[in-house]
Amino acid sequence: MFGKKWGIKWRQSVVLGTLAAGMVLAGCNGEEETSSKSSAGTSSSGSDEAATITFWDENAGPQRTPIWEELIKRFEEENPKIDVEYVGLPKDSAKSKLDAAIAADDMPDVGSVQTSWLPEFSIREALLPLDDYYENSELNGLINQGALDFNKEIVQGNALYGIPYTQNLDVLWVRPDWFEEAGVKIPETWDEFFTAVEKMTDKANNRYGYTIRGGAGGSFQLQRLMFAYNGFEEYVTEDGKSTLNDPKNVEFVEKYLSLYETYTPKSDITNGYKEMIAGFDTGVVAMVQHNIGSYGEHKKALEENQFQAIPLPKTEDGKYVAEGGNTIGLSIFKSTENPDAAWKFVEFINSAESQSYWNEQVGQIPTNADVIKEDWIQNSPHIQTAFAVYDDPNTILYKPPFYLPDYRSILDNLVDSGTQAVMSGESTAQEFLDEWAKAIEDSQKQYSEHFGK
Amino acid sequence: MSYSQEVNEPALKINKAVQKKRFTKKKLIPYLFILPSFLFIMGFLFYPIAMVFYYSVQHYDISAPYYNRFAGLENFVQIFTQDKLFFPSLLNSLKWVVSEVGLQLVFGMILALLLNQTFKFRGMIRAVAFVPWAISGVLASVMWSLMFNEHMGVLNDLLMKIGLINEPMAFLANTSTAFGAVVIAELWRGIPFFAITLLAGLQSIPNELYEAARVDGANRWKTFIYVTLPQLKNTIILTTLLRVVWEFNNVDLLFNLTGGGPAHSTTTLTMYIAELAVHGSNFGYGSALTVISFGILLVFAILYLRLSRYEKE
Repeated sequence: MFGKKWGIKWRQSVVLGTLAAGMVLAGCNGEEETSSKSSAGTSSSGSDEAATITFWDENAGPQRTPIWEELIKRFEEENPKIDVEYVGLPKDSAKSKLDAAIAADDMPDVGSVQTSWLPEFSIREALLPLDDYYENSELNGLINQGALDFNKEIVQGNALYGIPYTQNLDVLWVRPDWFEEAGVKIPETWDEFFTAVEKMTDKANNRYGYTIRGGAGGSFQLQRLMFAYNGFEEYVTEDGKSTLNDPKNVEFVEKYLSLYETYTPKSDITNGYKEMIAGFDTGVVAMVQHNIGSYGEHKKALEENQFQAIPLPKTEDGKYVAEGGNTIGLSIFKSTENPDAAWKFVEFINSAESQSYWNEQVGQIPTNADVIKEDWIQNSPHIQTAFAVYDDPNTILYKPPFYLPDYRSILDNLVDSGTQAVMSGESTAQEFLDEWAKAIEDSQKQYSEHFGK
Repeated sequence: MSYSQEVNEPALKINKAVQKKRFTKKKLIPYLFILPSFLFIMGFLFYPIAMVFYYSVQHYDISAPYYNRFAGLENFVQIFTQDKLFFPSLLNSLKWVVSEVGLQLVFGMILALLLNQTFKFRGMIRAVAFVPWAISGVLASVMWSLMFNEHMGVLNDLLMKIGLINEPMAFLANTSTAFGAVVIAELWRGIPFFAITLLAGLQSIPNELYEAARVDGANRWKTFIYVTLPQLKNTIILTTLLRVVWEFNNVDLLFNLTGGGPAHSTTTLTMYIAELAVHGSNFGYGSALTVISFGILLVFAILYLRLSRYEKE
């Protein structure tokens, strides 16, 4: 019976089986080539000649896309020979699309690039140094020097790869009307924060003191709160150790995540940005941690006296802490065929008028000194809150290791789910922080071995 | 044999060179006809598959090209010895595939048997029954996430009205209910596939067999066991095999409803690969995981076809 016929049948099974299993491989390969729309660049580099440049926005959506379209329209009116093609990338996938574009050597001319991406992009030699352009530009001296220095400090070779056009700050958005009603003090310290979360919770009326971002992006929130609590300046010490699993962080994470369910909604464990903000804007939670950039959404949903931005609570010794590099800038990609036209666009967006327009619409802090004096800045309480933090000489700016290539994926894949594991009681704060610290230390070790730094 | 004889017979009368030329041309033509398909399959199926195997032995991360190098079996060693997510996600895949395919087959069979009866408005009801299959994954995810919603979901409302629960549950946000919730959503979408194919199979069973069974005095259950099921055997084997592969690779509902969370309780192996490759851009490691899932499915498919004696009486 085990003759020829058996062999043929066996072979048939193998072929059928292979085809069936092959579907898994063919299916897996689709994502690699997703993004890259070809970078234009039709004519030569002289700025007086006609040129087309491509611009990639890293946070496209109904709020920001129209702002860019308006600014591009103004730019093209002023520079009729330069044509700007706008490509909007959704925030969640912008980084991976840029990664793919760089890998395929098919980059845009100009991109809106988050400061935390600069070290990685510069190591990959994707960006054009802008030092000379900036020095000879009318912008020289106007853009926030601290932000420029930070951008140079974090990249290899200390060149200037991005001109920041907006700055952000993490804050707590609170309901001042509820606090007043309940006679509870708006928190300034961490003790006051935890007390307020407790006191502002009234489950019978479907009100919670706070909402935790347990889903996508929750790692960033947790990290910023941890540092605001512990007051550390270092993320990774000289000898390659991470401060993440320091007992102070363990203490904080235990205390903070134990708020879950008792004083926060149950669905917090999968909360992304939208759900978290919706909780605040629909009157379910009294406090939410986000940045000043969500001002526009609160303004749409709530009355003027129903929302207020306050700084994250101070450390035990009374200092504000903020994450360094919370800016977004414009970078020119190395493959551009029209660097002069691209620079003109960068310069235009960073002009007082454009920066003012962009930041006023979004509700963030401009970096151009001429804009800071404008009325709308003086009359925006949330931006004044941000200045109070940034202008305080005692404020600690800690630097996350943006240069580690897997910094971001550690946060996305390990920390987001680790937070959920602690929230659901499947893991302890200590185990979770040890794992996080180890991932960072391993990555740091690999980086140091490779770059000798 | 008869084909080449036919071709060669008239050719005997002309000289050998022409004969040879014509012979090769005739022989070549069929290959030329299949050449375009062959090239397409090579380019779009075999090349990507080969690349997955190639990358599985590389350290290949597009966001850190300076670390890229030949890795040998390092990725595989890491997967089996250090990866804390590999075995849990594989177990989730197993749970996912078994529960989905098993339940879809049972419910699909029941639906197919019902739809095979004669009743009023049969055509319309058949069409309606197949609607979930036609709904896109993203749309289905939105629908189900609304129904499962803690604050406004219809499921919570119903369960509370019946008195089964006292306060609303966050089905997708609880590590003990999230998996089951997604299984139900996917089940809803998958039943029509089995129903359609099984219904087609049912309709091709000759009526004589049922008549003979009736004459022999078989009741409904016996008819089902001794006539319907054996006649549907090949359909069942093939549909379950296809479905196993699809469900193993399926991520859309998982991705949209839970994103693999909370705390990886719904992370299947494919979901894990998607996370690594799409978010982490770590294609080398992701490819190694893919090669492993390929191996698993290959072995499964071969064994399944052998053991189920596919296309054998």
